[in-house]
Amino acid sequence: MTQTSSLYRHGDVLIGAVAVLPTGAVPRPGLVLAHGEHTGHSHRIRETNAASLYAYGHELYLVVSAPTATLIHEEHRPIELPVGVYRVWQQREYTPSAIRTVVD
Amino acid sequence: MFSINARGRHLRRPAPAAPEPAAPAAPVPPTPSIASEPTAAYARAAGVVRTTPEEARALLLSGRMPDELIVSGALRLNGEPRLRELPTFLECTHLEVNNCPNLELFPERLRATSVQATRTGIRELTGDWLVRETVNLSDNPRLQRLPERLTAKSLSVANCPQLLHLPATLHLTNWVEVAGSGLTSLPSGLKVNIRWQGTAVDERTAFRPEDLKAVEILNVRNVTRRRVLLERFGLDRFIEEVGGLIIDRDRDAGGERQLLSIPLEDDEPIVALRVKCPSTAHSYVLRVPPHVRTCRRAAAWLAGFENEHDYRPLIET
Repeated sequence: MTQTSSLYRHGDVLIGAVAVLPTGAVPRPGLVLAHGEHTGHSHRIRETNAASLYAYGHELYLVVSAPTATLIHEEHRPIELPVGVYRVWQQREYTPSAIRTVVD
Repeated sequence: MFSINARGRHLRRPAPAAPEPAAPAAPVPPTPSIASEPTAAYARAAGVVRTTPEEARALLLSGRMPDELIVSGALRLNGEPRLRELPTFLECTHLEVNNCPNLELFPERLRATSVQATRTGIRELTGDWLVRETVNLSDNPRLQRLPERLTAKSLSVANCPQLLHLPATLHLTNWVEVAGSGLTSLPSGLKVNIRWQGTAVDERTAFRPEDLKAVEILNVRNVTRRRVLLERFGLDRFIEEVGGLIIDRDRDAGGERQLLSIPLEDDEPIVALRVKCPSTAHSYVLRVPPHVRTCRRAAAWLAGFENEHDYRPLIET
């Protein structure tokens, strides 16, 4: 994976700016980027009209249409994301048998 | 005496009335055998349908649901979103209904050689299941209840977090797989091997990992078993107890971070990054591949980057 432009880390969630939304990406309801498995907390956009989520296969994309959108979570400080298109993914962790997605 | 589920089918049927003492004894249909050939008595019973696997499949997917279905072979309906229920009584050889997300109603009387029912819509299973081999119910996050009478060789309830208890009358002869289930013990009368992710474990490892000691894990010779114990014990606590060689340290938004290495006999070393969350100040220990030698490379790998120069976050919170 190559990432040369803006990159943000919000706990175990990574948000990296990309040039464009992939053709064929499908709108996904809601503004929750990731759910906490045990805590019930979630990484989500605070302003309902500032952003949209899209699914492209197993990948998740966030389009910020307002000048800024605020990424929030109960335990992590908010991040102001500027207008743009972002790919969203989660940290991974190594085990000898499999590489797993980190969940909080 | 009985309850009715959301789709109108009795989850539990009323108990049959006691026979009148003066009445002549009613003929009792024999209990159907587990063999694929149904008994003649059942073939004559009202509502019973005897079919081939192909006909049974077409019948069930058409939505015409017989009360009793006897299939002369394996019933394979994997990956069928149209499938919502199965007959109240079902006899077949192998029943396979994996990846049927809308399947909520299962047989109350089931006779089969094996059952594969992973990733379905089941919440409750009731009744009387007699299965010769394995019942696999893994990866059913809403499953809360198993049949009151369930006999099989082996059972998997892996990744069924809402399943908190097994029925006291459960009869197994071989093993039960419990990784990721909500179980905290087995019924007292159930003497069966316990598996965690396919590896045999004892009750303490499965249900009371807090009672384990790090040094015990280090002394386990079998690599697979040691990995399971380490996972149950928790990497954070393991490193807390055994320490580890700090092979690199630097600072990020959360403060100092350390790359730790713990050599293991007959296995690759544990290499893990210890970091502090910049928001909560909680410490996390995250394992990385054993070839990683710097904190920067470890943090980049955890974020999904093979090259540490590609990982330069503007903000971390």
